[in-house]
Amino acid sequence: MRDDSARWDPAAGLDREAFQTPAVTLKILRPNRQTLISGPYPAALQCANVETATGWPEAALGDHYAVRLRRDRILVINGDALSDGWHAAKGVAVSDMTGGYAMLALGGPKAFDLLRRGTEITPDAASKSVLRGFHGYPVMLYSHGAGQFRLHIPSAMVDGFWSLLADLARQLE
Amino acid sequence: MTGFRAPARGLIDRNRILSFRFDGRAYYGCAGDTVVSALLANGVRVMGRSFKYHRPRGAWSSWFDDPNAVFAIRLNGHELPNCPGATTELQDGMEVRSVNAFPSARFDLKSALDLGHRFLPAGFYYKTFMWPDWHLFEPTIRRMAGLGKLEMSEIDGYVSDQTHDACDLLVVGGGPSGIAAARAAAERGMSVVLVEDHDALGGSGLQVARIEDRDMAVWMREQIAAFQAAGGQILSRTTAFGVYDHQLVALIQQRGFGRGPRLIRMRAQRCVLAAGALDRPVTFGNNDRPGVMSLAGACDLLARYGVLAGQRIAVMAPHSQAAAQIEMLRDAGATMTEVAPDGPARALGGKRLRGLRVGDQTYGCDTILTSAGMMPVLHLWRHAGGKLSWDSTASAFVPASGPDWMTAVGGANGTFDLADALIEARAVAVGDDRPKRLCAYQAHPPEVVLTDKSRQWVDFQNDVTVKDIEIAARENYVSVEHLKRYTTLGMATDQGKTSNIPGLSTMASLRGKSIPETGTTTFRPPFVPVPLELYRGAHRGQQFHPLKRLCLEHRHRAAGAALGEYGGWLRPGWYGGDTPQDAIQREIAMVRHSAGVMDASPLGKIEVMGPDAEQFVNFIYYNTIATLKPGFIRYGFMLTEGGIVYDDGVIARIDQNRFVISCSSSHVEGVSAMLEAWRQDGNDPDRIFVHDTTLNWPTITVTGPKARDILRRLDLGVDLSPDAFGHMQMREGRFQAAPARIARVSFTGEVSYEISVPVAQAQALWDAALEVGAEHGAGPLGLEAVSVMRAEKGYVIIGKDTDGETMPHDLGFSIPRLKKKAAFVGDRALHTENATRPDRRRFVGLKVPDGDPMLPVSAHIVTRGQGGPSSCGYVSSSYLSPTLGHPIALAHLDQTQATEGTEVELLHLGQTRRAIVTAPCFFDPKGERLHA
Repeated sequence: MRDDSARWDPAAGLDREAFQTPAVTLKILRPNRQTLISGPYPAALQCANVETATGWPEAALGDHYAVRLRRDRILVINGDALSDGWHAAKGVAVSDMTGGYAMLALGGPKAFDLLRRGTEITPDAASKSVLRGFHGYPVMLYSHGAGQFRLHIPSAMVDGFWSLLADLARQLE
Repeated sequence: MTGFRAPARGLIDRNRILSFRFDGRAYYGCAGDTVVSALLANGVRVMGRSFKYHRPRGAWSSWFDDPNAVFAIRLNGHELPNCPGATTELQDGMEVRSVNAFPSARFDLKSALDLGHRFLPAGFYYKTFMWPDWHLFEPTIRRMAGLGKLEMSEIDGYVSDQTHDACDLLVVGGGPSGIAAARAAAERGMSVVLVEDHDALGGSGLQVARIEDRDMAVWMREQIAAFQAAGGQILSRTTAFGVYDHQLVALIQQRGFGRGPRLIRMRAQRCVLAAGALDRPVTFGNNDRPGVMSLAGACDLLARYGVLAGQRIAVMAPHSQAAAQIEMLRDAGATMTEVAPDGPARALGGKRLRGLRVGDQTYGCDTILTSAGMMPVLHLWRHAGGKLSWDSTASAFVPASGPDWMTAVGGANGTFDLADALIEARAVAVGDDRPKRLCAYQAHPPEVVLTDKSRQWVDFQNDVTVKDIEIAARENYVSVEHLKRYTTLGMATDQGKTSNIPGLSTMASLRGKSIPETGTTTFRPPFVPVPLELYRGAHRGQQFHPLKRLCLEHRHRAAGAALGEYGGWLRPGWYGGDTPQDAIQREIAMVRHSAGVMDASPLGKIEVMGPDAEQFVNFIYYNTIATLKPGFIRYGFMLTEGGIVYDDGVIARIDQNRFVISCSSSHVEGVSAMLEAWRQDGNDPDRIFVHDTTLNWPTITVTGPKARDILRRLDLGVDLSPDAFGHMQMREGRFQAAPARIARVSFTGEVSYEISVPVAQAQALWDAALEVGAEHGAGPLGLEAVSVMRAEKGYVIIGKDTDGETMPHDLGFSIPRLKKKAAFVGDRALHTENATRPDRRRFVGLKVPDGDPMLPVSAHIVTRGQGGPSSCGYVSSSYLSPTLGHPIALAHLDQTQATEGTEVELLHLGQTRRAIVTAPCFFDPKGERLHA
């Protein structure tokens, strides 16, 4: 039973200014919708109305796309509104997770160097999943065009994750 | 005469003079010097004191194999302890102090300890300090032990950088073999990283004038240029210090004194180990005297730093590579005397060497260079699981079978001839067969003989002598693992680099066995000392254990919340600026009389969906869930396979194919993982899916007799009347046009509603609930008050009121165990002998006599027998209940003692207390308030 309020910086959640150094830029994105769909991969794609779900190193393009989390799970960004629950006709499970994940955009000339600080990643080692451990944080990480990356982090962890990225970015030479 | 700077040699910049101090005296060095090379160039021999006897020690070698020159170094106001002087680059203004010496290395008061060496052999403290009590001696011994001392202040900006990388081929060692291997592989199109721990590449190649008919410097430049032109990457000042699972090689890259080094986690498809070889010390009398040095180390000092170790040098180096090394030193101006170690040998002199006596012959000298042979540096090979075999010709361990992704070349492979090494390196690098060596190498190390005339040192750093090993052998510590621990051989920073083979060979000689029969040892990371900061990196401050944060934290702070960690979340413990006790009591009274509004967002909201979801959750839960109807909620336990209560909580059924599990706030990840594991085990994974949606659904709990009145004003679109919406039911409504899930469940014993809404609506709901609640005298409610109220009701907190042995029937939930027909996790374990023991502990309440204070948590409930008090239970929760006006406690108690009304005795920290066993529920046992 201890008052630790002063030991922790007040949480800012998603309300924060973009972070910018000559090496990297980092900002919060606010997608209209994030939808978790689980089911056989083709059924999940069909439900999401997308042709593929991005892994690594291919890039997601545009505003409406899906990323692949595992064999039978995708996250759809800015997809159609779907009702939560079991979609029996398609054989998929759907959950809105718009508020569940914070979404960050990372760019700048040293963006990839920053990523390598937190996770084992190379430009060419392919993975069908965008899920990674990043310095202990569970993130989804994918490319969104040359030198541009996007990260999704459980929303309750965005404060710690943001300050980690900012601290690491400041150390980049 | 001692060491001095030879003209026109080395890689140092003689135009950049650096000043520094050692043990208070001023000296000068050159840019490119190490602390050791600069001290030697200034004629300093005594650089430290040994660990136990405080014997004077000089540098044994020029790089990581020097165990003696360990310094505390201060620069720019900050001090780093235990810096290996041979690998620390000299910087202008350094204040260098010897460690383990007072007042200085040269004159150390504790050197008197050496006079008593006969009474302090290996293991003396195991025998001497047994009586009357080791703890009497321990503080003094601990004060005397150790090398440098830590400063309490933190060095500003001393932060290590941690990064990851990958390559096709990692070449460890930038000597000629490593460079040749790296170039050959890079030119085949591989991505190659070459690591070298010095600033400059070259290794032992710097000691020769020509390589492959080219001037050495030209050869180096050409090779390096070609390597880089082929895309190769060089990491200098970088040491590969450990090999870990899945071909991960840990690299430490130095970034300058006082700056945290960089950790590179390198994932290498293949690794060529070209780490070279070290000199094996010759074991002879007084071989620890300052001025007795490694032959290869002396050559390296000359080649890199232009330092000649001495003027008149005696050399004992019975191996076939020594002649060229001796010639190199002779060329630089030293008088060289080659001495065959064909009799008992002894160094003459004290801090200043006078000569070397072998048999009846005395050789005058100021420096003795020795090498009993070359020892391949195979630490990384052993880290990777490689085996060693004994090469009796080379008298050295060389690589035997090993991992297919790592190959040793050059000196590390026992290929000591340069021409052979280059051919081998190029072949191995591109995957060709290893060619046969053209040049034979031989070493004839002298036999170690125990003598009483003088002490012969095996481990310079830890003061282990041949006599110590003889004692260990006599006392049957003959296994090398036991030998190490008994004598401290190979401990501390040396880690066997210099002492391993001398120790083994000594044990072998004393026992009349061969070295391979005696054994070897397993090297473990790190190969070189690394600062703990290397492992810490950004795992500091709030990143050490980052907590999850509520989306309404700003609202809680504004309301004066005292935030604390609860199950990995930063959550309000109580609100208000009064004392915690007052705030908690006030909040409890508020809830019992009106209502409280609590942020319960961390409560689990794990959805289980699919046509087999019903069958699945029925299997997961101890309780029967299959009969749960949509819109209803059931309390239940999840068990481990061992039948132990893993989590409690409620499960709601939304529709035929969809359940929401509301597990404990701190168990969400664990329960999700457990569900996923079982889902994938014996189920059709396309018919069940588990989504953890906790973070998408913040939850506001309104609890108290006025809860319904408050909810009515929130316009949730749900009939809240008790008949329409009873306890343990769930409804889907709307809040501000967004979906809202309202669950009528309670952890306080009052009418309670948990309202879950999307993140975007959470703040509005919180504000509205408080605004409406204020009209009823309600306000924000923290977790501490809830903890008291739940204890008043006898509700458990998993992990606090349960432990690693608690089964559901211990908590009073025994019906599923007896009657549930369907299989469930943990079923079998609930019927074992242990699960049915008559003395299992039962969850009970405890009440203290009127006027007594609270019982302490974890106090033992005891019975008295002939052998004294014996524990038969313990207090798991204890509070002062403001509702009841007296203390309450929850406990686990041997069920033979657990009859209500029984008086029990408790012991805690020497105090005896008494209490009466009650039912665990102290408040509203009929649940009239709950169901109101």
